[in-house]
Formats: sequence, structure tokens, C-alpha cells
Amino acid sequence: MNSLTTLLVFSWLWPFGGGDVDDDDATIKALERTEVVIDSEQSIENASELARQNYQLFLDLVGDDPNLGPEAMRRLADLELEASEAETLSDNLQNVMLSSYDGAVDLYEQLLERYPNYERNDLVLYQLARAYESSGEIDAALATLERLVAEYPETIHRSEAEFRRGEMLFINRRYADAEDAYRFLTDAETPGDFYLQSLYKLGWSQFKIAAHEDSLDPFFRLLDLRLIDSDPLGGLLFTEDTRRAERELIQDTLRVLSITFSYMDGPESIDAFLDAEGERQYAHLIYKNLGDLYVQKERYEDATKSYQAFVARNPVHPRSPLLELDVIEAFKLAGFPTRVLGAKETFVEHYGMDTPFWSTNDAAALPEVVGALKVNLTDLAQFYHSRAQNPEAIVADIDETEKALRRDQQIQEDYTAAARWYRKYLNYFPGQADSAGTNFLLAEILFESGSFNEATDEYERTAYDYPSHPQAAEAGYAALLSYREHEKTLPAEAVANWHERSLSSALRFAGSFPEHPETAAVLTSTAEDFFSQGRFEQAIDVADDVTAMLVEPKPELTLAAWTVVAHSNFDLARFSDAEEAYYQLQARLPLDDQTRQEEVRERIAASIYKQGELARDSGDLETAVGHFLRVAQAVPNSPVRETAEYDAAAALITMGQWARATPVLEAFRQNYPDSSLAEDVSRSLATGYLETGDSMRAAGEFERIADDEAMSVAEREEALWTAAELYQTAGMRTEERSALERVVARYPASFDQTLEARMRLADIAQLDADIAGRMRWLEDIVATDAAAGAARTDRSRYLAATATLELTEPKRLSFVALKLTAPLKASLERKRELMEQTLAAYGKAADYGVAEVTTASTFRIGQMYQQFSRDLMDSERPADLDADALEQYDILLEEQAFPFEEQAIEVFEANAARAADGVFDVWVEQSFDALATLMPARYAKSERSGESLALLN
Amino acid sequence: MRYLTDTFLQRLFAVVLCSAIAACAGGPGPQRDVTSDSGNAEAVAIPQAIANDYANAQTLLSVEDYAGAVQILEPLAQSAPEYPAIATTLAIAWRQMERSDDALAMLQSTLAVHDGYAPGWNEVGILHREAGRFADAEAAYLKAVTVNPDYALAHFNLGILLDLYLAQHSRALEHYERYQALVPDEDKQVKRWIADISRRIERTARAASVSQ
Repeated sequence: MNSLTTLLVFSWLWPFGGGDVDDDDATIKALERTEVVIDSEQSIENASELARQNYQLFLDLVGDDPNLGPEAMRRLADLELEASEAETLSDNLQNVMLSSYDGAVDLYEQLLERYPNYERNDLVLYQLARAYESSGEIDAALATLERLVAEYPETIHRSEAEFRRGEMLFINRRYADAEDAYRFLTDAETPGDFYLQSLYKLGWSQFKIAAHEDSLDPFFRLLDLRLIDSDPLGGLLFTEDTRRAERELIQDTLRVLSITFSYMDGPESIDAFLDAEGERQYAHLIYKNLGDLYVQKERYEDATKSYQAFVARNPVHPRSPLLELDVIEAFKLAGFPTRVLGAKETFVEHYGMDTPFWSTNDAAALPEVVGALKVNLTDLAQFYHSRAQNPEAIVADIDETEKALRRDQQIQEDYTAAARWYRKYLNYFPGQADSAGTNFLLAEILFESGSFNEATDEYERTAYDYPSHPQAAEAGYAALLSYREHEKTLPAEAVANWHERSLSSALRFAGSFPEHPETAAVLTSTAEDFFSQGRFEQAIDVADDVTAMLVEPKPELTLAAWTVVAHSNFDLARFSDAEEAYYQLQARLPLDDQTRQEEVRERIAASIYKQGELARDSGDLETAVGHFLRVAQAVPNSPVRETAEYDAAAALITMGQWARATPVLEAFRQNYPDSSLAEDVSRSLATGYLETGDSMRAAGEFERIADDEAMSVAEREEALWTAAELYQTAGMRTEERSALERVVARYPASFDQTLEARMRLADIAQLDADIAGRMRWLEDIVATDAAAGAARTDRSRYLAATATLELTEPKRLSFVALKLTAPLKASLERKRELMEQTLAAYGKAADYGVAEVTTASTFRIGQMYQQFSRDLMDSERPADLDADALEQYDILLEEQAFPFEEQAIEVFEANAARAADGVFDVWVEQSFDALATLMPARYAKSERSGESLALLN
Repeated sequence: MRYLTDTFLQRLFAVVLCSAIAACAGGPGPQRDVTSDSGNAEAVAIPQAIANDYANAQTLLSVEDYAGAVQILEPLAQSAPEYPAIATTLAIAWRQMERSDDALAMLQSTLAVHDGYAPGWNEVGILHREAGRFADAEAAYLKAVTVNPDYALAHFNLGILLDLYLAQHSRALEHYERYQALVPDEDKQVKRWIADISRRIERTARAASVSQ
């Protein structure tokens, strides 16, 4: 029997496959190509033809038998029907041998007529209906089926009969009748073979009669039966026992449901249904299909509402993001870029990695959502970034200023938005291959929008917080530019810390990206920065990195670096290093850059000079001299040279190396005749000459000082005096006299000095045998002392006393020389006169109270008395005296002379008596000698030594 | 003080004489004993070479050949410091040559060892007196007469110092008289000095009593 129930229905055979379906049911047309297979268990066998022939023969034999006749007829009809169907199948033609079905129909009709009570007439009716149907007599077939279900409601063929009845009614557009036929099947307590199809066709039937809301029940029942879930990609997941044909049926059901809902209130109707009938796991398919249907119909707004309706109901449902993507696509198709943008933003807001969505969903299981999130984030960021860079014109009825204001505001908002999206991307996907690139874009955005502080952070993050990537170096460099820009905006008190950070970043950049074309410039700039802050050690370290680069940077950078190294070392008092650096700098400076060349030369000179200073301060004078003198060799025209050479000489002087010092000083004076140090040079030279025993040159230097009006009076006087002393040492009496005469003339107020000068001038006159000159100076000394009043000193008194003593000497000599000649009276008068004058002079000398002058004067006085006594005795005797007269004359002379001798003894004794008071000089001693002559008995006493001492005593 | 007129012939004679004496005194055989001028009878052996050199020096001194004497005495004083007479004689020679500082230094170093050598202190007194250092001279003379109260020359010189240079006539008189008592034969010159100073003392005393 199964083979008989096999129905292969071609489109033209089935009611809803007919060509007369209404044109306005466009969606139904899609079913035209649908192949519905009810049963295909067996095929028709060729052997049945032989069986049919045997049954015909058998029927002829037993046609009247009440038991065997009907059965044989039915079997023969079945075989006839089978043969017809086999032919139909094999020829695939509509009108093939309709007469063959006629044979079966006749047999079944005969059977019903001949055997009305045949127990298996329900089967006969069933087969008859088939035969009618197969022969194209649909109405007869339908009537036969209706007879069957009416007469045999309990037949085992009831389900098939109802289903086939429903199908035929459906084809005949008798949807309400068809609905009843199908409902018999769908309401059965036990779902039969046609249950699924019946639900499907029941829904359709209701749909056809616009009972949309009624149709939802069978359709959803059908879906509930076969759909358990949907896969993450939105495809269907069927139960395991869902066959392929059924799957197509379900897909069509989903489609018709979409149509149904579209005829109703769209997604709101879905919501209402689900609210009323309960949620479905596959609900997203309902909303999506509805949305898709709207898209097909270009009802994009409705489509997005449908997608969004599901999302609204199921915000954390794993399919919600996909529906939101459909929203985006719908807006794209609709050509609504603004809505697309909004949808993308909504998507990111709903499914950002920090949203509740991900608390119930696993990102690894939803890669397409994560991917979409990335895409949308990137799209959003790039959109705002692009728009910020290329702002749209403001179209509004406002003035230009307001437009500009709005435009700026818009730009700023776009930048902010772009930054926000980039940040989200980075937050959501920190370790991605494109994270660094995105971070760079974020930094760029921030920089372009003037958010330099944040831009700096992002540039640095881009440069240093990711594995090596192509934009790292560029980001590192951009960070530095950003540092600079932000610094301009900072208040003064905040600049220092920020600037310090920028320097650290610069060093980090250079360390991380040594090959970057700007590294040398950055390092140079940093070095200059450190230098300007006085952080010389760091400045040198950084600048050294520039100068040590394997590939020499641009000349201007190298120059700047060497400048920093040189100046820093100089300021750190590392003058040797500074000098070396300046040479490097000098070698790199353009020769025609006269100004800088000159500056460097001066710095070299200063560096050398400072090395000298350091050595000198540490006590290493020899080294100091070397440096000081090196200045002239290194930079002959340097202004420093003057000081350096002077200091070299000074150091040599300090070392006592006068022989080396004086040539330096001489050269100095020759080279710098107008130097302010000339005075010191003269002084030093003078000392140098003194130290080297060159008194003559030393004196010359002191004369130079003495004549230098720039010097103080005291210095000049001292110098002139020193010059005189040096001339004396050198035996240059003419020059000495000249110097001393100038001392006397120039510095009359210097009482002591001028007095000494006069004394020395007197001595010089004596050396020159200029007696008159000596006398003149001695008289000057006496007069000067006498006029000094309270300024007189022991020394002045001494000099005046000795001068007075000496000035008396000519008188004494005149006195001694004057012989008493006849006539005695005249010469005696003259001698007495001389004696009185001389005694007075000695008395005056003695009055100074100078011991040695007093003893000398006393001695001379005694001597004069003694002399006078002796001269009287030796005086020329008158020529005309006879012997007696002469004797008388001699006695008279002796009487005259003796008192003078007594006087002499008294004076000598007075002088000798000073010995007891501790005064014992040559004059006292001579007084003793004189007394030994005049009074030998008392004074001629000499000490005695042991004349011959024995070796042993 | 002048002993002889310094003439070449006299110096020549003296050296020849000295050599002859030395040859007689020395000669081969054991060294002879020499007694001090103070009459110490203790026999002490003096190296012959020293004795000879010292005798030669004294001879040269006697003819006022001070330089010649110094040539002998200077090394001798160094090699034989145990004999203060050598150093003292050298000082006498230097004083004659007006090398008073050398003389004084030599004496001071010798007397530091031979403190009781009166002729040395006497010579020190002379050097100080000539330099006008009268107090030092007095102290030296007194030291001499202290270590050897019978050393007549010190009393003599101390008398002159007190008489001429310090005007302490009474004390001078004492030392003149002490000198006179010590010398074996009366010194007539000193006798006159004693008479003179005694008169002056008397006159002074008289004048003083008159004034009182």
C-alpha cells in the first residue's frame, strides 16, 4: 500500500502550485518552485504488470464469488492504478493514457456499486479518489474524499483524506474549507504524518483569508516544534529529526510570518505576540526576518525599528549586536549617513567591551561582534577625525563671526569625539596589532585639537608602550613637539616640572630611536637646554652623544654640541676639557664666520688662562706659568694674553725665578706699553732686577715708578729713595746723587728721608772730593734740623751734631795750621780768635747731647788747649832778643802756655771720667792717651798679660 | 804693650834661637818633666811635640810675630785642648792682631772647661776693658783672683781698671797693694801709683770733709 500512497506532485498538480494564483500575492509565488515530498519510500515495480494480468484472469474466473470477487477487483484496480501511475511517472506527461486511469476508476466504481457493504470500501473510496486525481478529475476526487470522510469518519485513511481534501480546497481557493480540513489534523490529539504540513497550510489558509493574527498560532507552533535555537551567525538550528523539506518549510514559515507581521503593526505586533504567548528562543529570527523584509521593500526606517525592537527586549542577547549591525546596514542602504553614524555610536555604546553585554557573553564566542565593534570604533574615530580636519561649511542664517565660532566649536567637538572613540578602541583592544597605530591617531587628534598635554601622553604611549612598530619613532618625536606646545600654555609656576619631563622624554627618544633623522637635533637641543639651566654635567653627557655619533650630524648640530661641551666644561672649571672642546669647535666653524671664530679664539685663550689660574691656586706655579705663557702661542692676539703674561711673570716671581720672570715682564712692557698693569710691571721688574742682582736696571725701574704720576706720592718717594740706594749699590754715584737731590727737592715734608738724603749727598760729595759740596750739605743738615722744631728726632740731632762737628773741623785745622809768628801779638790774636770760634763751634756740637759728638768735641777742645799751649811754646821768637831777654821771653811764654795745658788736662780728664759712666768711645780712649802723655805718672798705665804661660800650672 | 821692635832680623834670630832650645830640650830619649809657673811639683808627662810647638810659639810671640805664633798655636789648641795655656796664648796673639772676638771666643770655650785657669780670666778682663765693657772686665779679673788669689797680674789689671776707668780709687789701691805684695820684687812704678792714688784719696776725703 505504501507504494500506492506515494505521490509525486508536480507544481501543476497541487492547488497552490496553480498558475492562476493572484498576482498581488507576490510573495506566494516564491512557493512555485517548492517541492513538497510527502512519501517516497518505494518506487513502482515493473513486476506489477504481470500481477495485474493475473488478477484480470482471476477476476474473470471468480467474478461471482462474494468473497473473492471484490477483493480481486480491488487488487486489480489498484494494479491498474499503479500501472497508470507508473506510466505517468515514466513518461512525465500530463495526458498520458488517461484511459488507463479510467480502467481503475471503472473497477472501483464497479466495486462500490457491486459490493456496497464491502468492508474495505473506505480503501476503495480512497483509491478511487486517487485515481480521479491522477486522471485530472479533481472535483471527482474531492467529492470522493468528502464521501470517504463522511461515510467512514473512523477510517485509517481519514488523516490523509483530510489533508488531500485540504490541499484540493486550498488549490480551489476555498481557504476557509481548507482551514477546516487542516484544523482536523492540527487539532488531533496525536500529531500524525501530516501535522507539520497541516500547521503550515493552516497558517497559510488563515493568511489567505487575512486572518493574520490567527495564522500566527499555527506558524509559531510549527516553529516551536522544529526550531530549538539559532546559531551565532544567525542561521537556523533545527532539531535533529527535521528533514530537509521541513527545513525549507520552516524557512518559508518564517517568511510568511514576516509578511504577516508587516501586515500587522510590524515589530510591535511581534512584541505583543511574544508578550502574550511567551518569549521564543528564536525570536531574533522573527524580528530580523521582518527587518529584512522591510529592507527588501526599501522600508528602511521600519526595518531598523524591527531590528531595534528585539534589541530593546533583549539587550544582552548574543544576537542583539548582529541586529544592530543590520540597523547600520539598513541606514547605509537607505543612504542616511547621519543615521549610520548614530547607529554605529549606539552599537559601540551597547557593545563596548565595558558594557553589561559582555558580562553575560563571551567575546571569544562572538568574534563577529568584537570585529564589528572594532570596525565601528575605527569608523567613528576616523569619521570625526576626518571631519575635524575637513570641517563642513556652516549653513545657517547667521553672520560670519558666528559661523566661524560654530565651526570652531564643531571642529573641537569632532576632535573630542574622535579622541573618545580612539580611546575606547585602545581601552577595549589594548594588545592588538593595530593598537599602536590607533594610539598614534589618538595622539594626533589630541595634538591637532590643541590638547597638547594629553597628546604628549598618548604620543609617548605610542612610542614606548608597544612592541616595535613603524610609527614608534615618529610618535616619540611628536611627543617632544607636543611637550613644547603645551609648555607655551602653562603658567610660569608649572613650566619647570613640565619642562623637566620634556627633557627626560627627549633623552628617552634619543635612546630609543638613535637612527631617527631628528635624534641628533633633539639631543643637541636638550644639551643646550641643560646648559641654559646651568646643568652642565648633563649638558656635556648629552652633547657628547651628539659628537660621538657614528654618522656625523648636520654641521650646525655638531657645532652646537661642541659649543655646549666647551662652554659647560668651562663653567665647570674643567678648563683643559673646555680647551679641547673649543679646538673641536674651531675646526668646524666656517672660516668666514669671523665673529664666532673670534669668540672661540677668546674662549680658548680664557680656557688656557683659567688652567693657569687653577694650577696657581693649587700651588703648582710651574704648571701655571706654562699655561699662562701658552696663551700667547695659542691665541696671540687675545686680550687675555696681557693678563696671562703678567700672571706668568707674577708666578715666576713668587717662585723666586727672577731670571725667568724679568724677560717676561720686559716683553710684557714692550707688547703692552699702555697697560694698566704697567705700574705693577715696573714694580715687579724692579724687584726682579734686585733679586737677580741687577741693581742698575732695578734702579731704572724705581726711577720709572718715581716718575709715574699715576702712583701715590708715598710710592714715588719710596721708589726714588730705593733707586738712589740701588745706584749706590751699583756704584753709580752720579745717578745716585741725582736721585737723592730729587728726593730732597720733591719731598721736603719727609723730614727724616730728606735728612738722610742730605747726609748721603754729603758723603757722595766727599767721595767726589767735593769738599765744598759736602760742607754745603752738612750745613743744610744742621739748618734743616734746627728748623724742624718739634719734628726733630734723635736721628736728626745726631746728624746735625756730627755735621756740626765736621763743619768745625776746618776751623780747627786752620787753628792748628796757624803758626805763631813774630810779631806774636798779631798772629796770637788771630789764633786766639780762631780758637774761640772753634771752641764755640765744638761747644755747639756738644750741646746736641749726642754722646759720641760730645766726647769728640770734648776731646777736640782739650786737644786745642793742648795745641795752643804747645804753639805758644813753639812760637817764633823775636829776632832782636839777646840771650837773657830770650830766656825771660821763654819763661814768660811758659807761664802763658801752662794754664792752657792745665786746661787741656782738665778737659781730657773730664772726657776720660765718662768711662766710669759707661761712655767709652774712641774719643774717650784718645783722651786717656792724651792724658798718658800729659800726665804719664797717673795715666800711662797698661794692662799686662802673662808673658810666658807654662803649659802646666 | 810693646815688647820688642818687630824687625825681620829679630824674628829670624828668635826662630833660630827657639829651634836651638827646642833641640836641646827635646832630643832623643825620654821627655823631660815640666813644672807649672805656680810651682806645682807634680810631674806630668807632656808630649814632646806639643812642648816643642808651644815653645816655638812663645818665641815668635816674644819677637811680636803674632801671625807666626798663631799658625802654630791654632792647630795646637785644637789638638791639645787639655792645656789652657795654649788657648790663652793663642788669644793673646789674636788680641795683638786685633782679632779680639776670636780671642774672646777661644778663651770662653777654654775656660768653660778650665774654669780655674786664672791667666785665662785675666786675658778675658783685658779684652773686655779694651772694648769698654768695664763691668765684664771687672768680673773677669775678680774671677781670676777668686780662682787664684795669688795671681798678681789680675790684681794689677783690676787696679788699673778701678783706677782709670771706674774711678774707684780705694778699691784700686787695694789691688795695687795686693799686686805689690804678691810680686817677689817691689814694682817701683806701682809704688808710685800707690802713692799717687793714696794722695788723691786723701785729697778727696779732705775735700769731702770740707764740703760737709
